Amino acid sequence: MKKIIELLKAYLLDTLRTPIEVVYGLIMVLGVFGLTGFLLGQGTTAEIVASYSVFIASYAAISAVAYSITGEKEKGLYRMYRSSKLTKKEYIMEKVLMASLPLAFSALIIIVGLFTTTIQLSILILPVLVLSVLAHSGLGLIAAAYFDNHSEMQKVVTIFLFAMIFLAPVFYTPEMLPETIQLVQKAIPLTYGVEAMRTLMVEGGGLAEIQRSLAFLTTLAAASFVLGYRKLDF
Amino acid sequence: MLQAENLSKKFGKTEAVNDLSLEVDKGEIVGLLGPNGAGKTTTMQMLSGLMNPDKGEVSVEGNLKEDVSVVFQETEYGSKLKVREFLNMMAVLNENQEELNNIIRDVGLEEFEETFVGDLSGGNKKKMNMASGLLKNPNYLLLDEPMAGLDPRARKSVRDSIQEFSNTHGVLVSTHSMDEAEKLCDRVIIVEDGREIVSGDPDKLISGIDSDFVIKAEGDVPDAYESEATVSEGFFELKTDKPHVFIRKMVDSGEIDKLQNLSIERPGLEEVFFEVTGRRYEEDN
Repeated sequence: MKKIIELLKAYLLDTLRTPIEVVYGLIMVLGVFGLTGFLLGQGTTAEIVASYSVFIASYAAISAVAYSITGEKEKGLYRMYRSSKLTKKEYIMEKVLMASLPLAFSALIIIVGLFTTTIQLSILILPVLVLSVLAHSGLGLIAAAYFDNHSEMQKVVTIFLFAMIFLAPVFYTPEMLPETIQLVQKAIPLTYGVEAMRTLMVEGGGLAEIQRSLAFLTTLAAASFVLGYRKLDF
Repeated sequence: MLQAENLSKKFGKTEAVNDLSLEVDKGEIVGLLGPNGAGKTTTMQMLSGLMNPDKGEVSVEGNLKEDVSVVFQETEYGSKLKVREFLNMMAVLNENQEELNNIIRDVGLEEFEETFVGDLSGGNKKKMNMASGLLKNPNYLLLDEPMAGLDPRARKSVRDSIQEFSNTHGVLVSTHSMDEAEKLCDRVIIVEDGREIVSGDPDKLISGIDSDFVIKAEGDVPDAYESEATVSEGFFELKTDKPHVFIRKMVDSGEIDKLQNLSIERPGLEEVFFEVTGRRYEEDN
């Protein structure tokens, strides 16, 4: 655990010492949130809060894992870590924890929602967010395992991220889209996180109503981690 | 002893390493020497357990992952970590925080502890890489091109650090510089296209060249020396104990004007390479 904490500490130091990137990231988050949600009036404020809180965590998870591993491969740090006494399990665990840090943004969005609209809080929000992060971290791990080159991986991951942004029901409810697009949405993992969050926070639903989404996210998290772990050459 | 037997590795149709065997003992510096693309880095990766060979095997007393540390040349640091922070992280990863201060001192980075890693000079980055490798407390240290891109002063400093470490450990240094290998290594293995072409003690290999001087030049071989010279693609070498005689003859006959890049040198590993392969060694090829 000490090694994982040390790697996380180094990551945080490195990130916080480039505050312009942190500020830029925050502005982007709030900007997209404001433009797509409140200003364009797509969906109710409560729906936007519910979907955006899980979107930001999922998006950050897949990007953080995929980009940080391929970045380290390109810089040669990956080989340096491999040559140290760090194990593959510890390395991947650190990446997952790093990918979980943006959950703080999710919490911030929910807090904003509490003050600006009517949303229901439920303890089940936590497993939905965590499973979404794990499922998307797993997908990031698979991408990082298959690519040694940052720019080649970017082409694939960017397509996936665009699909996530525009096909998953983040900025609108599924009913607003044609039926064929609604079918495509079912293939996007984020859809299940968004549906579960809306059910919990907007409709006040419980475990029974979100169990299908939880089952999907759990299966995806397990499958992607098994595949990513096996494939990653550490 | 770190030992590799009959290592081979292919990437597609390219044979990066071909039936290469070598050994490194504690207390010695072995040079893996060859032009770029000769298979040195691939060999390093296989020796450190980071890459599996297609054929052959690597063995060490103890455990490969624990006892062998490899430091690659092309590690980049855009990082906003300071030297001490980075090395402390590597110390934690290698479960060796107690030796951190000693290693920072040994590689001569004490005064740069608070410098951001990205701001270090080329020489100091190499030292930091070496410190990262040493923090594993390995019995064998593999250094990939530790002198590449350094100025003479930094090279001397890195060379001193390597020599210091080799007193108690085994070191394998890959380099494309024949000159560096002569200065640093107890034994060299010269490789080309993944194969060993010659190996041994540099002094003994060089002493096998039966002359005190080597005259090198580009241009046609002077008529009087046609039978003695070794020629390769517009370049020739002439071994002699009396270079002044050659120079006088060239001046008298006026042939000196036709020769380019004329030099007179003591024989070195470049001449060994030339003698074995019949080709001139190009460091930057």
